[in-house]
Amino acid sequence: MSSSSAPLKTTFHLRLEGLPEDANLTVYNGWDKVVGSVRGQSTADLSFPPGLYALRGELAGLIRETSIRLDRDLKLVHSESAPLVPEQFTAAPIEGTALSHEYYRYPSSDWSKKATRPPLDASKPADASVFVFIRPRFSGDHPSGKDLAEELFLLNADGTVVCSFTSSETRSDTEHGWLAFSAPAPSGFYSLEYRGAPSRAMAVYLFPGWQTQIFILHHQRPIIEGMRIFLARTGLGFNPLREESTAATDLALDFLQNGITRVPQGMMNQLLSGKFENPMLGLVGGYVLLRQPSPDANLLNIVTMNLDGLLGPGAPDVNAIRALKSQLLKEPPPAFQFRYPPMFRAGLDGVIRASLDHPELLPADSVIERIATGLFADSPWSSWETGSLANMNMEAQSASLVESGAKIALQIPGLAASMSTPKLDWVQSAVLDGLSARVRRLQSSRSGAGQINPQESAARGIEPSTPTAGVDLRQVALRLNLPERAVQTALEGLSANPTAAESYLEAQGFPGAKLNASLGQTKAASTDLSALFSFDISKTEF
Amino acid sequence: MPQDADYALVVGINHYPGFRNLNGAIEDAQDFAKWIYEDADGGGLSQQNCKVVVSQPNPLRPIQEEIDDALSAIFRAIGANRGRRFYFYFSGHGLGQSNLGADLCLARWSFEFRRAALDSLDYLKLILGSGKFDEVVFFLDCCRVRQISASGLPSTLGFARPDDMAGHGKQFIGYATEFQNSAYEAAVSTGSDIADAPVVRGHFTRALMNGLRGGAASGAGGVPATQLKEYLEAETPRIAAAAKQSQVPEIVNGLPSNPQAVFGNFKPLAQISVTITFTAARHGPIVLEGPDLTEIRRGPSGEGPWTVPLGTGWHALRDLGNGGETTFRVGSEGEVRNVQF
Repeated sequence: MSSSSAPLKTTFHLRLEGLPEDANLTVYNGWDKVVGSVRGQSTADLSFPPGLYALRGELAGLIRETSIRLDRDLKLVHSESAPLVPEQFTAAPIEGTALSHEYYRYPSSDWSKKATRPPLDASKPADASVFVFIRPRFSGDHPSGKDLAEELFLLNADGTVVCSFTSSETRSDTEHGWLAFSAPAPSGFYSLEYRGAPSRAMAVYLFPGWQTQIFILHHQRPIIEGMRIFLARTGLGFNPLREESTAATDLALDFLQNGITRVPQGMMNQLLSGKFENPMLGLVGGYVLLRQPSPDANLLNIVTMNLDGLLGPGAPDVNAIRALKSQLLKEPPPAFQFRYPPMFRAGLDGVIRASLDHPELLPADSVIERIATGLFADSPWSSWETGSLANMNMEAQSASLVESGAKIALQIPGLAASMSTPKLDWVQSAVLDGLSARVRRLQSSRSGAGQINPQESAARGIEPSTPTAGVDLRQVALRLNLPERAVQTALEGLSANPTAAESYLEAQGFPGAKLNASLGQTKAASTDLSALFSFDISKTEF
Repeated sequence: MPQDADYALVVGINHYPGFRNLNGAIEDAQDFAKWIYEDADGGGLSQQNCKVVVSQPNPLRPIQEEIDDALSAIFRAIGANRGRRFYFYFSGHGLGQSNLGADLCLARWSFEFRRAALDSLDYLKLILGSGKFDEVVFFLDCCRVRQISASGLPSTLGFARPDDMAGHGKQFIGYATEFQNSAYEAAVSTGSDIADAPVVRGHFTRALMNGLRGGAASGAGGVPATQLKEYLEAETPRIAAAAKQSQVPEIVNGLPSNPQAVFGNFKPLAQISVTITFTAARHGPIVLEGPDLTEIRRGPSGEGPWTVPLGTGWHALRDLGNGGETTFRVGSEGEVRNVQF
């Protein structure tokens, strides 16, 4: 009689189910060596020797690590209660996301279908509507009695405050801490401004027949840079259920914000079908597609045509997508003038870049030129320091401040002081930095002392004179990612403030620098900045 | 192992009076420099081959000229010879304009002086273009977020013509974070005295130094470049996550794999003494297992705390009496020394 035993298994089967297709999952063995990975699959079958393993799930830049003991075949199902990849954090209370709660989902859905105040501007037809929902991360996460919309304002295209989110215009709940604002309004450009610290304005568009839904998390202040914007047909309201298009749009915004170039699978499915009904999905999808190594021009055409059908032909973001595409494919830009910034930062950057070759994209009164020097880069949305637009619309702002009463009596801290004491702005500083660096290079290659004009020196061959050797406005604008006229405006500011410019250069080690009088009269396209100053290097210490 | 033909430029900047001071950048830079020329199994450089530039508040430094001067001194020291490897380490604030390179903020950087930064890509090109090194290694512990119009400045150094060997150098670049993302620092311990300031370190440099000092070492000693990349990719997010932050490094390894480029000569980490105590919920017997489920120890729960020397990696404790189970990871910093089960 003989005895036998089953041979020991050398590998075990690990089955993973329910993974979000947009998540990455990496498997490390017990010594932290990568032994496997799962990309873009909801289900995976893997085999490993017996041992301890760590599963690292990654979604939109966040990670979650789970350790497992593999001593038998094992099946793990990703779920809310046993997540293998990080939860998604979003300001919109969408079912299944980390900060979604019933006590926010229901009221946000309810109040998006009802108005909390009469139309915003009775003088124009209210062909669109706007819904704003502000809430903390969870009930009890904010001090009771705190006004969630404190220092928050909605301004129309003229820069007039049309809503200051007072209690008579909003509905709120002190138990769970939410605030809802909903009203019909004329379509067009608006800006949502937070005037506390740090102050910031965001571009918001209302489209005919659509409700623009804005969700903002509040943690000590409204986190408007992390807001979520959705679009829904007027009257339908916000749907907090986890639909594929909403979830994919939301995730793609995280991808845009975190610089991830992949297109969420759910979004790609709908984009490829060419029949998406959610305009925000098309807008986000268009921008994400443009970040691909080889953007699909045909798909982009389909997306923009579909968006035209949904939003109308004049949407700045749709035309910004076209402008970006034209830059990539060396095509003519769209026949469109960007008076107002697109909602998406990627679009705004693209428009500014395109305007350097096609200045006609920016009309003379474009808001973009005025906000370009104060842009923030930490949000997928176009946002800027409120002071930059306030400078443009001082008169309109002042009038609106008076009209709007006590709540906005103290706006734009420091603005008055800064206007009475002219200082160089960063564009002017950058221009002078570039100029002084150039003079330093010339100085280091020249012996003797005396007057030096960077332009003349270049022409004498002290430095090779090439078409790019001069520092012209376009080059400066290109390097600073600014519209050319914004640089021209900065130069005119230098001309009006020569003492500050010369003091700045003195601090840079050029005590003899003198600003030429002709500065403000230069023609933008042909200006060589190096001609604008003369440097007495005999007084210069290096 | 002495590496007389290796050179290093190490920069750490804590002082940013026009922006926001950092607390751990100088400490990080000094620790890297220590590995470079002081650790017996470190980089093996002589001290004169390593230039260290750290920030000072008054007068505010460093300025670009100071860094370029240090680089120039290295080039002069090499003269007509060739070096083997060049290390460039930077710890401070940083920016990113594209997925290539980072802009390394000088002490003067502010929103006004937003171009007071070094263009790492230009410096990399300069050093590779010098043709003086077979290998160029950059470790950049800084953010790579985009800040409009804040592109860094190129080096003021230049070569009259490309060296014959220009373009032959291989490169290894360790970015603390991916493009458009932030790198963080956090307190790792309080000082030895209550009045002491907490010790602050950058997550990336913590992982880097742990890896170079044995965490990523091969059995033969030294840290192969491929293993350092893998280690940094695994460990940096873990250290960041422990501080409730998200940080994923980007490591570009262009160093040869045959023969494998190796950093230093540290051996894999020795075992760490871990004390395991048992709660009243334990029935026993208890089994302690290693990363491959090898049984390390078995015994009743009532026998009191176990003090066990353990290697790095995951371990499991199982209560065979009631099916209880837990896992814990012994990290390269030895941060797990007590486990309650």
